Amino acid sequence: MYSRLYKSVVALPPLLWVSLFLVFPFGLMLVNSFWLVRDGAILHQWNLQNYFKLFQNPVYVEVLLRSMRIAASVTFLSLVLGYPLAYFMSFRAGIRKELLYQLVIVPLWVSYLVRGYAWKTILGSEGVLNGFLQYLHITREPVSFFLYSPFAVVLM
Amino acid sequence: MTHIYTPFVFLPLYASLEHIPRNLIEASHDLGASPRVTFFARDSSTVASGPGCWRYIRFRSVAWRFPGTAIGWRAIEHHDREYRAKPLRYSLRLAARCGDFRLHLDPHCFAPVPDRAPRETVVVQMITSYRTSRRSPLLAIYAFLVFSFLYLPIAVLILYSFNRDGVGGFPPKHFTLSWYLQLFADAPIWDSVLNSLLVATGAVVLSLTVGLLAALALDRADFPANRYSAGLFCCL
Repeated sequence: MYSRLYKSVVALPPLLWVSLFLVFPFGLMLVNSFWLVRDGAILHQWNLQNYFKLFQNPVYVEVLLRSMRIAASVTFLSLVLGYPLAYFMSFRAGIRKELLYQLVIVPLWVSYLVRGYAWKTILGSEGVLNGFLQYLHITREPVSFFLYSPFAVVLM
Repeated sequence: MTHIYTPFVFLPLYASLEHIPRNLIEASHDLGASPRVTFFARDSSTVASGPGCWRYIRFRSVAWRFPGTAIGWRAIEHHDREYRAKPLRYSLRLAARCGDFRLHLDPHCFAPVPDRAPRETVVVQMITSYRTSRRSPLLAIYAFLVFSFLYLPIAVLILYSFNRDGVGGFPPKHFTLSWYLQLFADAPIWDSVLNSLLVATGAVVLSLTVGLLAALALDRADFPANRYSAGLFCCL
C-alpha cells in the first residue's frame, strides 16, 4: 500500500505537534498539581496538598460539579442535534450532500466572541427573542432568565 | 456551548457514517436483516482503503435471524440482485424473488469458500447499482431545523446590522445603512482588519499543513499506534 517512509513523513509532524502543544502542557499541569505552592512559589515537593484543598473547599467542588453538569448536557444536546443531521446527510441527502457539508463547516469559522455577542442580542432582555415573544403577546414583560444563566451557557 | 459544539460532534460522526460501505447495507437489507440488525452487524474489513480493496462483512450475527420466507419483497416484484465475492475465485449470486430467497453459487466462477473464511461468513460486494438516496421528509425537516439553529445568530447579526436602533426589539423597523457608513469611515478598524488577515494567513498555512498531514496519517498509516493517535487528534 503505502511505504514506511511515506507513513512516517505523514504521521510524524502532527504527532510532534500534538505532543508539543497538547500532551506536554497538560503533562506539565498534571505534574505541577502534585507540587507544593508556598508564598506564590512552586516548591518541588511531591504531595497531595492541592487535591485536598480542591475537595475540601465547597466552592471548588460546586464549580467542578456545575461544569460537569453543563458538559454532560451540552454533549447530550450536541449528539441529539448532530447525529440525525449526520445520518440524514450521509444516507438521505443525495447530491446536496457536499453543499450541506460546507454549510456545517461555515458556522465553525465564526469566532466565539462574535457568537457570544450574537446570542446576547438574541437572548438579552432587550433582545430579539424577548421582542419576538412580546410581539406575539406570549409574554408581557421581558423574560430575564434567557441570558446570564446556565440555560444560556448550554445553548450558546 | 451546544451551538459551538454541534459541528464538532457532527464531523466525526459524519466521517464514520460515510465510511460505512453502502453496498453492504444494501446487501444486508436484501438478505432480510432489519436496519437494527444491520446496525449491529460487524464490518470486519481487513484492508482500510483504496479502490479495488473490497470490504468484508460478517453476516454471522445476522444469518440466524433471517426470516424464513418473507423478506420484504412483494409478490408482484421480481428482484435479482447480484453480489460478487472479494476473492475472485468464488462468487455468490443472491436471488430473492417472491418472498423467498436462495443463495446460488455463480457457475461462471465457481469455487469453494476459502478455507480461512468461517463457514458462516459471507463475503459480498454488490455489483449492481443500489439505491443511492431514499427520501425521508421527517429527517429533512429535522436537518433544516438544526441548520436554522446553527445559522440563527449569523442571520440575526446580519439582519440587525441594517436596523437603525441597533440590536434588540422585534421586528426591526427602520432600515438604514448608517452603521456601514460608520464602519467604512473608521480608519483604525481597517488597521485591525489588516492585522487579522495577516494572523489568519499564518494560522491557515500552519493548521492546513498539520491538519492535512494528520488527515493523511489517519487515513493511510495503518501502524498499530494509529488507533491511539486517532484519539489524540480527536482531542484537539
